[in-house]
Amino acid sequence: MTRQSKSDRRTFLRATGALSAGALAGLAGCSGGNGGGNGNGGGNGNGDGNGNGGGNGGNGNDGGNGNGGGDLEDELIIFQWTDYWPNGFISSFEEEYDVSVSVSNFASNEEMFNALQAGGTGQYDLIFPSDYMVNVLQDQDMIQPLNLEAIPNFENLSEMFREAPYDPGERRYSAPYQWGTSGIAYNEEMVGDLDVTSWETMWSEEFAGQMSMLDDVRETMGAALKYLGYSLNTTDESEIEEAKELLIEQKELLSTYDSTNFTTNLINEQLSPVHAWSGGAFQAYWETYEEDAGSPINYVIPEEGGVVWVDTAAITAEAEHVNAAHAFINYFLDAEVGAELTNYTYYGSPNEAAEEYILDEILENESIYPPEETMNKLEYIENIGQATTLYDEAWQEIKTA
Amino acid sequence: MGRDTTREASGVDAHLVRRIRRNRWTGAVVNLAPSAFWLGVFFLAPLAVMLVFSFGQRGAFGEVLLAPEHIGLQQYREFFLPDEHSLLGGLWVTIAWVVEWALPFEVSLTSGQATPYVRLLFKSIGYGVVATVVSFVVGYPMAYYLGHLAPERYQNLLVVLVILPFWASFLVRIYAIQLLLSANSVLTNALAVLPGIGADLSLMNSRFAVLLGLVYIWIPFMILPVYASIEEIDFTYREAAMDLGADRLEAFVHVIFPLSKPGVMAGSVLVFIPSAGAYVIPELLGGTDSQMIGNLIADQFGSAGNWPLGAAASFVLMGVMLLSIAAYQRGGGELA
Repeated sequence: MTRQSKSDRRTFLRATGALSAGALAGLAGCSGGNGGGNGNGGGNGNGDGNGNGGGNGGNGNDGGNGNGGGDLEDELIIFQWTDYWPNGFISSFEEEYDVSVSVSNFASNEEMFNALQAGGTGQYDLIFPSDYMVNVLQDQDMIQPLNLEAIPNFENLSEMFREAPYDPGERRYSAPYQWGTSGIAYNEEMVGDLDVTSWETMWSEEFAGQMSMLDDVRETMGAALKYLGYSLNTTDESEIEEAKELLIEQKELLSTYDSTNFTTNLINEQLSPVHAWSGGAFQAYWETYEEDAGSPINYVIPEEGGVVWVDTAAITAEAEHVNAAHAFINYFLDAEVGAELTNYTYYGSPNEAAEEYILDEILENESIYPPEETMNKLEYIENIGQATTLYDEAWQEIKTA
Repeated sequence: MGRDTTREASGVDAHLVRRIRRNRWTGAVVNLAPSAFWLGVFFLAPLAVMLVFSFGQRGAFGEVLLAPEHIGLQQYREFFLPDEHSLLGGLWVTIAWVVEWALPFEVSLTSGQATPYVRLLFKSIGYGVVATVVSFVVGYPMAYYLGHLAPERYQNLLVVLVILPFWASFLVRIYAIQLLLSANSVLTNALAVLPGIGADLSLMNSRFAVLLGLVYIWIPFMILPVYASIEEIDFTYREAAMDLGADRLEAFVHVIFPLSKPGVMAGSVLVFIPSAGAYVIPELLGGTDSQMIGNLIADQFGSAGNWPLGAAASFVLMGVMLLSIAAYQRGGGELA
């Protein structure tokens, strides 16, 4: 549903990656890893990678990881978002499990879906779809149920992520990898130090002409529905109607609907406050970050709640290396390895056990880890079947009003 | 002797090939096969697929349902027919709305409204017409200068200058306009010397920005055909007209302009079609109310996941384009 959102999140990763790895050179190799080969694993002999590698080894031993599902194959083919783990992440796995890993990258859920449809699911063993895409893949029989016995670290997941509305039913098809949100971002240089707590901000006359909402049906309708106190997956026509009226009312206050340029608009002080994906907002944050002054960019998840998304790992229906794929899932669900991921990406970790090892500055950052009260009000964008057309019609009405 | 026979044989071959190519029936096949293949595989076949899709329905996961029970005109009905209206009622509401919309003064014919899709379609046509008119007003004098007034040795250079922007990527130029129109840019700072304008004025995300983008990108397609037809005009006609008592303006209106009309017609079609179907320009320069039909189609094929509706909208747009070409032909233009 959010085609562009993903590439935005990815660009953010590149920015934060640069920060936490402290080495741009390593990234060039990482994001250039398109089309496979062992690009991600190779040539990452910098300090960061090595340190983590050591940590992983220790874990593997005390966990007795990954051998519950039978013999490991000696190969694993992964299809993953660009630049979504730190340097050395793959090579540690390869060494520990003696599996040779090759990685290809994609930039959007739809791109991945089309690649699987065109070339068969057997091309890859392990893929990383987002929440709503899991639902689609499962419906189309393109992924297979996980054998949770082979993934003892599944227990590490926090309560919220162990249940997954996008992956219901007896058997789990996906294991959560990283998560994020959408909310309100603003540049202090433009609007001063705001006290944003509610979606109400996006309807205030004070910022007329300098706000934007995401150009995405479900995100923007979702924000309005949340502001009204409804579920953002509602299929109730009158609630959708109410949200539509609210957005039409808001229209004259907005500069535009935009999901590609809000990051630049934040950085260049063109628009504030804007409805933003957390990834784009953090990218703007690091782009304007200065050693002593910090950054003027703020990101807030409104107290009414909003959209939460989660990227997951799933095993394709025709995967050839099923056991190795299970081993890899178990590997990244390990407490220390999971923390290593979040310390690199600055996204939330679904891994509760990992919190012990996650940097305090991330755990204490309410725009990454919102307070529990807000957290409970976040919702996934779910596939609502034919009701989608209700949203689309409302969206067209809004756009042409 | 042996050499002679080979020469003879190759002579026969060449002769045969020539005969095949010149024969009325086989020749057509041989000569047209490559382009027919190209058009068939890359244009007609995809078009046929889209046409079939436009009669289908959206599945719960965004897939296209094409089983017999799903085939029908529902997407076109969705596009044209306002909710809660019968076919005739819907037709009346739509026509009344179009009349209200097109007339410069306020009339109230109906309380109903056309569907958002129809409104969007007419808005896009409106953008196309305005972009065409502005291109004509700005481009005609320029083409006239190029084709008649400019010293001959500079003529080619000037024509190259008109085409020059095409050397840079379309997208790059749109982003450049974005930079120019945003607040505190070079342009707005320069405009700030005028009273009543501040440098923090943002011209971005407005209808003005979209129209500026459309005219800027497509105006060469107006200038070049007009230039071509003006260059061919024999200006002794004008002298004759003036000898017969016409003043300069009359000579232009009654003699020169009619002679340049084929170029104007061709230029108008060339500007109107891409303008009305624009997608990138309103996407990058537009504000909350500058969505066009191209954006609707892109949405349906993308995030909304409703390919049948997107396909139907494409065919409606294509109908509008064909109508504009038909108008062009009736206006005396030639399709070549």
